[in-house]
Amino acid sequence: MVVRNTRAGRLESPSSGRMRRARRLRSFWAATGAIQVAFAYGADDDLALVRQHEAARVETLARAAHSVVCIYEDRERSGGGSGVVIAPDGYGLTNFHVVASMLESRRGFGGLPDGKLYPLRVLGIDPGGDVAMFKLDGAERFDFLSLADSDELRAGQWVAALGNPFLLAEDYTPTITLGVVSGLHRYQYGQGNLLEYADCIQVSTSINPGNSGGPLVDMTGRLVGVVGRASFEERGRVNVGLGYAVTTNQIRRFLPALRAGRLCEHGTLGATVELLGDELIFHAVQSLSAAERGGVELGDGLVAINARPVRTPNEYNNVVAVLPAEWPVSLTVRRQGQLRTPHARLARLTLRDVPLFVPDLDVNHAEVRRLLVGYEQADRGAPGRRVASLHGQARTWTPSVPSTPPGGWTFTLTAAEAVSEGGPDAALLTEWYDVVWPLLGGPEVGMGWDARGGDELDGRLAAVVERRLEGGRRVRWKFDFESHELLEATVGNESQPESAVWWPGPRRPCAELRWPHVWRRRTADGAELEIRIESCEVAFESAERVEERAP
Amino acid sequence: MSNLVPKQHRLAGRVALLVLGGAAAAALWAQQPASQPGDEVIRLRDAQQQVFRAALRAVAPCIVRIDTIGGAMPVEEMGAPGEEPVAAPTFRQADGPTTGVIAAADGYILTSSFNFVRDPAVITISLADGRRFVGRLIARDRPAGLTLLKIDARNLPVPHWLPRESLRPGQWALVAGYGHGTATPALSVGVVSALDRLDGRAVQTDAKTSPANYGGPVFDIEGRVMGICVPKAGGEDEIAGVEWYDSGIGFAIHADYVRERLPRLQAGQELERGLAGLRFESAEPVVGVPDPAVPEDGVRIVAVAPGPAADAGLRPDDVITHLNGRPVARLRALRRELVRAAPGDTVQIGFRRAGEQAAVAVTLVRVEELQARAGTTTQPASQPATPTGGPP
Amino acid sequence: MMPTNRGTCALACCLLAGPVLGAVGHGPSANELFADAIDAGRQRVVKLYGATIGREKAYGCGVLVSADGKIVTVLSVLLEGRHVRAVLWDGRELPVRILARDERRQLALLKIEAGHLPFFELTSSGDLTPGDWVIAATNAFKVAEGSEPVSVSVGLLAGRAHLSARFRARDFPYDGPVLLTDLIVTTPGCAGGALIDARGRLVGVIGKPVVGKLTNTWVNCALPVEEVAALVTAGDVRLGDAPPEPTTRAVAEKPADLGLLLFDVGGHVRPAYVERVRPDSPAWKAGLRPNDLLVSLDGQPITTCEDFERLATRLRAGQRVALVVKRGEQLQMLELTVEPPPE
Repeated sequence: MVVRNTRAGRLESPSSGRMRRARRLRSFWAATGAIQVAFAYGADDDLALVRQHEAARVETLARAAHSVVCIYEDRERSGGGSGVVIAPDGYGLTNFHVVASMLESRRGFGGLPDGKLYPLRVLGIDPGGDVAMFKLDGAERFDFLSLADSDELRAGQWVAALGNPFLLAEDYTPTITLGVVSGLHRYQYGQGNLLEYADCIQVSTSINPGNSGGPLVDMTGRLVGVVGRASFEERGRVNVGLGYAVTTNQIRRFLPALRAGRLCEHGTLGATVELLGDELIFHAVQSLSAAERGGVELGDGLVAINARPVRTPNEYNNVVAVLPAEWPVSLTVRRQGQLRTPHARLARLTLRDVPLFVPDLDVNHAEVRRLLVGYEQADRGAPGRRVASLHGQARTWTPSVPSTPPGGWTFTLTAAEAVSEGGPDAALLTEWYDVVWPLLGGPEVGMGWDARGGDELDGRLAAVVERRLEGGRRVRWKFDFESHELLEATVGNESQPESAVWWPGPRRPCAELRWPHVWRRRTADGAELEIRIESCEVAFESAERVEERAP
Repeated sequence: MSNLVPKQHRLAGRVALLVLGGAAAAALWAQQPASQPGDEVIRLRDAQQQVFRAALRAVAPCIVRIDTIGGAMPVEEMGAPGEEPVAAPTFRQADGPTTGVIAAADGYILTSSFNFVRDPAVITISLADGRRFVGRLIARDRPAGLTLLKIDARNLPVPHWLPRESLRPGQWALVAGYGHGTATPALSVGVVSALDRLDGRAVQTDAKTSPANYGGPVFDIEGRVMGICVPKAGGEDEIAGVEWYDSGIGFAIHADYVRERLPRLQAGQELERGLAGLRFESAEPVVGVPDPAVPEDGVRIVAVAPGPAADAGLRPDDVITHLNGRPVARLRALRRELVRAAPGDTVQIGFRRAGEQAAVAVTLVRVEELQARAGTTTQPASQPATPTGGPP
Repeated sequence: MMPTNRGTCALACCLLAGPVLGAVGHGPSANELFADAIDAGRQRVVKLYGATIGREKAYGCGVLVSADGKIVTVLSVLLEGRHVRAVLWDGRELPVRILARDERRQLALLKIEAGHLPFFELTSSGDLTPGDWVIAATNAFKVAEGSEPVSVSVGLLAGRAHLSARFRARDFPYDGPVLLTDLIVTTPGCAGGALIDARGRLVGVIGKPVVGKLTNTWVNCALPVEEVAALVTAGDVRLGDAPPEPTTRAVAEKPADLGLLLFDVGGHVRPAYVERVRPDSPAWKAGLRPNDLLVSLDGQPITTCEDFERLATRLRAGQRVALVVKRGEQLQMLELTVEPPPE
């Protein structure tokens, strides 16, 4: 029999009257507490349930779509790909191969679903991992996606890709395709070491040319990966159900370097492993390699890297190939039955055919300023005058290095005796001063400054800023990338850039002193000391300067 | 009913119900297995299956199976190995059944022009209830890639068409067709990928669309039809876009567009693109970077070919700001309006020249007329040199 | 006495509604929709590696169907190598023996020496309906190596049909029932994989990548588990290690004489127009007349003379079939009874 939809959303079928009666009956029995209700749902309930789930997904994806960028090389939009905004000031991610043709000018265009085309600048690139960072200009604030922990993904869970396959988005509204996670920690060969997807997410969402650089999101609307590749075979470059995305957990480690406009490099241990029976053995360790310097010996059995179990040569590649150069790794190895934990810093994996890319100094220094300002705001609230008054007498010390830049600031410090023996001497205080003075916004950010990229401290992602001073001295600050809190600072020279480590000690409550007044210092030989700042006065000679510095 | 029970008993009864209701609810909560995701999951999964099936059942009466016999074969593939290819390899169409949708209760059937490239001699149409009819080809809508057929039948079930405003990216989209020779239409599920694709003619879906379901409906979880599945609304080439079959890039001509065009097709009018002989600036304005050549509130004319636009007095560098009274700030808005117009339609074009606003009426013509006036031989309309409504 | 009082009903409904509406969220549970099926698939699908010739791939997959290591997969060049090996979900690599080949279904039954393996029961796909979720577990593009889990994807049972297809430009021998899916399972490495329902039961074994004759497109299909069961219980298959001689098709009986001559216009497209009907023949008794155009036989479309000839060879004495013909501008339904051939 032919049945027609008589009113929107409902099929008037002979059984619906029966279902209404059934519902009344159920309420009756439940109200009298007579029988446990078996949830015998009818067709209406099925539809309501599916609609509810569908509506939630529609809303999630509608919100996520605002952050998806249609990236073009030119205003005629003749070629391009996709990208995703990850910060409200317009910073976003895409694939390196999407912006590879824009490297000379560093300029492109990004269309957003509001229908407008925004100017786009290419910042840092990671050719090895096929990632790049851009920044959109032209608005006060952009919608952005937050990064999820891609290790939480499970095979079979729904994910959506948003992008611009075949450049179909005339109005910059992204194409949404839905699928599931088909596999995790997959390996896709690159070209040499470029565009290697060493630990990627395999998805069944339809991925076609033009999707590259676009976001892969979970059903909470958070970014879990950046889509970049697909398997194509007999049908040419048309999706056949296998797409691949770089994970957010991989990208996250490169964010500080990408924001600093750098050419990112991946790391290597300089050692290879082989399966001998059930064990994974280091069967080649290059001399002076990161592995060797970290204490790995030929024949060691590899158990885990950064607490992640590694059982096959593929897994070994998965874990190491996605880490940045100079990244710290803690290895767990078995040597003659004993477990050991050598620590190493990865060496640089040199890329062949690296594109010519001169990092933009302005971009780099802008990132330095952003981190320093962020530190101030994180640690001190609004910058400005800080005056402390605590008890205790102390020696007055004025830094031997001229501290008065044009504009006329002075800085005086009185420090108490150091806890350890020997007391603070001028050299020590000079070192401390070099660390702290820039945190107060003292020196101008210019030549000698460098946002170096990222690092990992106690499992926290850090952004590293370096300043080169006269005499080859260099100071580095490591800020927590999210909170901008200062995790530690190092002082050193050309040959040993990090010979002494400074970090802020525990704070004691003090109404007026809002930045750490206890500092600890440790040198390579393990000697530690503590400096307690009893009183500190920062005097600003020029009142106008104070106004300028307010955010 | 309530009169039969004395008042104080009724009150006691209500209190009893309340108390027992509370107890029952408490009992229910206690019996709920403490956070068992398994049950919810199975529930949702089963509900989805039921709903997909029910949606197909709801729309199946409106889906027809089309069998054709005879007609010219399309261009053959390459010759034997070693020989020069006789023509560019193209998709070789098969002889199997195809799919259509009932468009009007008095026997009109819409399908994809992909299914009628060969101009078959005999068309038979089978309804879901098993009845079979001989079909006649009435007219084609070339910009949409749709073909209208007619059978001698009455009181046919028509789909519930969904207006474009009610569609949402991310909602379930199902597509069904007879191409694999199944007894009931074979189903595929995906989501609505985007609205307003192909100059606003089509909704895009990642459900698997292919010759097995071109001409069939794309519908929601209640069996309401969003549009008719086509390879790609190309207009000139009915099979353009078939290379994307089963790729997760699929298109359906909007129900709104279909309904708007249907009366003319039913009257036997072959629908083509109406052209004015204009070429437009293809660059878009960029936020914060003003450029007089790329205005923010209109579309600059780059070239005017001999034709209706030239006759009406439009010139290069005029900036079109309105079409039929509606503002068109971008080329895509202009194209969306123009793609709905047929040869013979008159459009009101509002434009700005040297700071002054003016308006003209332009009667659109067929591409052959433009070519005749330009004095050129026939060219495929997809070549950029030919004045079309804009870049391909 | 039913409480027709609306307030009480509303109250009772509210009390009921709480647990119901709070049920479905987007937390971790929503991500587990297919967890059972995926777990089942990953342990019971093995990766296969073997020989290669030309475009054929040297990798594929198969499905475990017994605890002692019987594996079902598709017939392919991969199996002709001397060192065919299977890799299990835990990375164990084992040599493979071929127990049986089924030329008609294009399946092979393999054996590895192992015990207590997880395996799929071969039941029935009967209660799977179009619109039901299916999960494919395969080694598409051999993305998974060693102990890496096989690839999974989720789609629907699209429908059921009888397969009519070509494999590399030659007719594909199997023309029986298949499960159609909207998943792409025609990529290298998929054939032999598992098609699983939402509850984790095997409903089909993914077939070889074929091009359908009805659509000229790749057909994504799987052999229903009932067909696979037929192979495993060794009904009509030759067993043994050595490859058998090429099986010859069962010689068809003489096609029934229907008393019908079709008008053969030659060329590529030859619609099945009736030229002559012998009086008193089955065709005549059914009502067929010259110039009728044969449109379908028992629902199977007839677009060319070849279609009709192919369908006619399957007819057996005593069979009654429904014939649809076009006469003028009308369609006629006729019934034809096949008579035994005269001795």
